[in-house]
Amino acid sequence: MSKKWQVKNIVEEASDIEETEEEGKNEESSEEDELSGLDIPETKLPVLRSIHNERNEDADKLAIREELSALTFEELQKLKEKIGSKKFNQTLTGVKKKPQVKTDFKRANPNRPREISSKSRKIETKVAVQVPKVFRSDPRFDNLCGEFRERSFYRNYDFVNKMKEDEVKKLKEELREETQPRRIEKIKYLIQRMENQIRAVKKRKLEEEKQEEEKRITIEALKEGKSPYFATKWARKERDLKEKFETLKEEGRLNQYMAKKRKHNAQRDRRHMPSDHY
Amino acid sequence: MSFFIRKNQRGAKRSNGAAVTGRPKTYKEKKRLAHDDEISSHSEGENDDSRVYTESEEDEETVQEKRLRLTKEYIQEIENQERMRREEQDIDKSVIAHRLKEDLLEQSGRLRRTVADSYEKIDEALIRHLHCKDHKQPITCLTISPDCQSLFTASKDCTIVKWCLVDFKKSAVIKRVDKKTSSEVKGHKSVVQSLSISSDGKFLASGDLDNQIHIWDPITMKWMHTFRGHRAGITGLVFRRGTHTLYSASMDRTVKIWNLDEMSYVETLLGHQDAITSIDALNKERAITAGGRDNSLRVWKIPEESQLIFNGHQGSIDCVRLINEDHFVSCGDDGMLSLWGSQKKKPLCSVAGAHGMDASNNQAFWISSVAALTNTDLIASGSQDGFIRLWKCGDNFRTLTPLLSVPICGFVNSLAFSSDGKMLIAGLGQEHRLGRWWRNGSAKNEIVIIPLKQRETS
Repeated sequence: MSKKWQVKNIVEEASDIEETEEEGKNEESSEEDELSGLDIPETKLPVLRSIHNERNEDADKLAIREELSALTFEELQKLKEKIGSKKFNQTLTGVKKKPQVKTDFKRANPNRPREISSKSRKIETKVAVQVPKVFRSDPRFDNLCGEFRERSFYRNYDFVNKMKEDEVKKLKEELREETQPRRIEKIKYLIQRMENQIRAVKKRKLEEEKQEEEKRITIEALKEGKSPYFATKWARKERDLKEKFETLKEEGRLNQYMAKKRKHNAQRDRRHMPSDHY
Repeated sequence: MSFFIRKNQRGAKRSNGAAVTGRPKTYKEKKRLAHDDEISSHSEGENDDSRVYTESEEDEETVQEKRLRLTKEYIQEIENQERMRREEQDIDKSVIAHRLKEDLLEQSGRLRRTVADSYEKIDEALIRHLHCKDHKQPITCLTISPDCQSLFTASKDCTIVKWCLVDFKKSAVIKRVDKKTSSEVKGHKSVVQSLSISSDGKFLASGDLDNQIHIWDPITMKWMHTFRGHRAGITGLVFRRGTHTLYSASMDRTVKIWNLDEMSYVETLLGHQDAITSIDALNKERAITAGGRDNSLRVWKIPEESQLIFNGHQGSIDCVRLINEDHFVSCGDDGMLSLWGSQKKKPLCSVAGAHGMDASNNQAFWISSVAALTNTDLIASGSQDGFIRLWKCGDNFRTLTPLLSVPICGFVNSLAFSSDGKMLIAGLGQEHRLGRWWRNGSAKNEIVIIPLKQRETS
């Protein structure tokens, strides 16, 4: 439900004072606040505009009265309109505050309504518990999260890959029964994505295994006292090629693969051949 | 006729209960008061303005003697009446005391009567509808003159119309004013949201959303004065009964007090944390305001410069009305109607969904206006569900029971009881008075006068 009225961002009279500030007065309450925007020139009424001196009240009163007597009737009227007739009469008669005014409002029991002054400009802060603000932190830059360890990460979250495999099966079943074309597209896209991810995971695992294999060899060699074997890049590549060759041969896709490879290489080599264009 | 009979202790010159309140002026009065038998039971420090002080002793005597004689006759009359009623020879003194007390309360405007049960079902044929071409847009507020002879209404057209309640016709209009009209013609430039008339019928105050309060003479409808000083639109105006003091509530969260005898500004009261939606006052120097979404009702004790804070309602509090000096009723846009007592910070009684649920958005209908017959137990509330509901406050204002409902069409933007309790006047509109969230095309922007009839007590 939107607010019924737009309460404009009204500048309080107190802050008005801060703009039209006369000689250093404190931000005390209602006394000076009403004098903002008054048409009487600043040179007049210095005592009235100044701080209410609690030590020298009588002297102030006399001084104020002298000032007021010096004003024209029009100015008096304006002053009265500005600060209100109640306050005006009080300054004239010298009555500062009625004795009835209580400063300590104590109620008989907590079920009674709360009583506060009706003249203070302080905005009451609400006592109700506020919703706590949620602070979010980026784990990459947060010291409490520690350093990132890839192997631990993969080991911890391996279960997700298993879930992916199950989901792929479900999606395939769904695809069989789905009729809407857009939905079919989506499912196909998802299946392909997931299968790619699964394949990538498998590949990574293989790589890890190979590395571990190498490590094992070097450790054994060290144990037995022989010099450790460190594989070079080319050696690794050769080994991989061999493995690939073997797997392809077993599956029977070797010819297909070799044909493709030959074609691809031919294309690349053709770039370096001199052409007949002039 | 509320006097005390004092024994004649000092011979010929004697005073009667004239020295009810205030300091005794003459030496003789002071001496007499020292020997008083009874003490005045009048309220705290209120001046009885109607009393006249005479300086010379001789005049005082004759007036006092006359008063004494009249008082004796009056008491004699009461005794006779009671005797006839009871058909006994002995008169119970306490009965007379009770009668005197009642009369005192009635005179000072504090007598409470339970009349709600005596109201009959309303005859719909007798309901009057008032239209005029100056109120083409929804009525926003209305006020009845204290003698129940005229009615003043204002609408979103920025016009104010005076109606005569004797022949139910329009008698005067204050038209809308814009920058083209000359500055001599006075009127309102924007929507008039509040109206109030003083209890002696001498001043009519109207406040609009352009921060201006215009004072008019209700008889001639001539402009008298404009009060500028508020920083935002004026949403509520009320006169203190028996005086010419005007309290104004505004969207700038302040209440300002204006003295119409001197046509001057008196003071400002601060404290609300949201725009003030409504203000009300009775005879005491107190005002009560509803603070919209800050969920607070504040009773402003003006001479003591303090405020009492009451908490309640879940949505915005839209209207508050005083039933008597100690109890008041409020309504809000959460659909709740709440009865309050001045001794408790939470409502004494709350009726949720008092006007039913809105089927379109599954929320309670907003209650936009409420009215209370002063010093009785009858309350009326109006919303947009098509009924004006009358309620009875029972059990020392701890329960609210539905009494009657009057079918009407439209948004009830303003409700008022006439002071004699014979009429309930409602200002209707096609829209809510504060905005255009809904528009009821089948409704009319009119004033509805519902005659209330009481059952003859046997």
